[in-house]
Amino acid sequence: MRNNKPIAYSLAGILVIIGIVYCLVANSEYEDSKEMAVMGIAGEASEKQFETSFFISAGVVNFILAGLVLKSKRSIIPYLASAGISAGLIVVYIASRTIGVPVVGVEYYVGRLDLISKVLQAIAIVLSGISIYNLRKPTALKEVA
Amino acid sequence: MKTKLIASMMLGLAAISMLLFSNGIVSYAQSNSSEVTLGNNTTISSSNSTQVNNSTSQSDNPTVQSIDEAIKALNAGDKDTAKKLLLKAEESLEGKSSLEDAEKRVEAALAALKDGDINSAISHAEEAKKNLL
Repeated sequence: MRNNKPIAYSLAGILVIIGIVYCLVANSEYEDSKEMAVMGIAGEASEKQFETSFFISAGVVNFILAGLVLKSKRSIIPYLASAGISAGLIVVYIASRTIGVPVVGVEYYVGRLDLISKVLQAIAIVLSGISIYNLRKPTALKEVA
Repeated sequence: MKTKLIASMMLGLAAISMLLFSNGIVSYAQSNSSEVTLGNNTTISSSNSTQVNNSTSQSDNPTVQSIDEAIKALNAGDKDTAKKLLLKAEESLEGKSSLEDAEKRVEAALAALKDGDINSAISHAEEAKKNLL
């Protein structure tokens, strides 16, 4: 069996960084929502509050996934979940910049933190794929034998 | 061995396509930004603020005037004034479904301003103005 530990640690580290980035974005959205509320722009303030909740949730999910990746030994489920959630978040982001998403609609600005998180998520998908491949390979060999 | 090679190639392709897709969006946003910024700079360099003033006088719409003033403030490097004016424009566009695109452009300008990306803020503000004229 291949040693999957370096990849698992790298993936966990990347998931933690993604979680931190989402928390930073959530904090920025929260500040904006407060500012909008003070200005009396109620619709925009509630939109920002929704975004804050979404980004906090995404951050927490990434922290949990990092913990699961570190804890798991031979299970591929944390890797599948990491790849699936990262891919889902990338798809949601692309939709938000093109066709629009419910509540928020279309957003036109592509921020620096957005880019950092998307690149890291792409790396997380690749690392998850490599881990799944490494963990599944011995099982496949046993089945053949 | 063959499966291993195919799997590695598929993973590599997935990674490259993801990165290219992300880059595609950025380059689209950047090209949009540079085009409009170029236009704006040309306007300013060719006739100083005459054309900007003309466009302001062409419209009695207070939202367009706010955006125009915000663009001037951004060009002058006055971020605080620009932010206040963009928020004022945002406030006046709030809840008007027919002007949603202009509102989203103003939001984008505010987000860019927060990120310190002045060129992008100007280009989004220009787009918002276009949607209102």
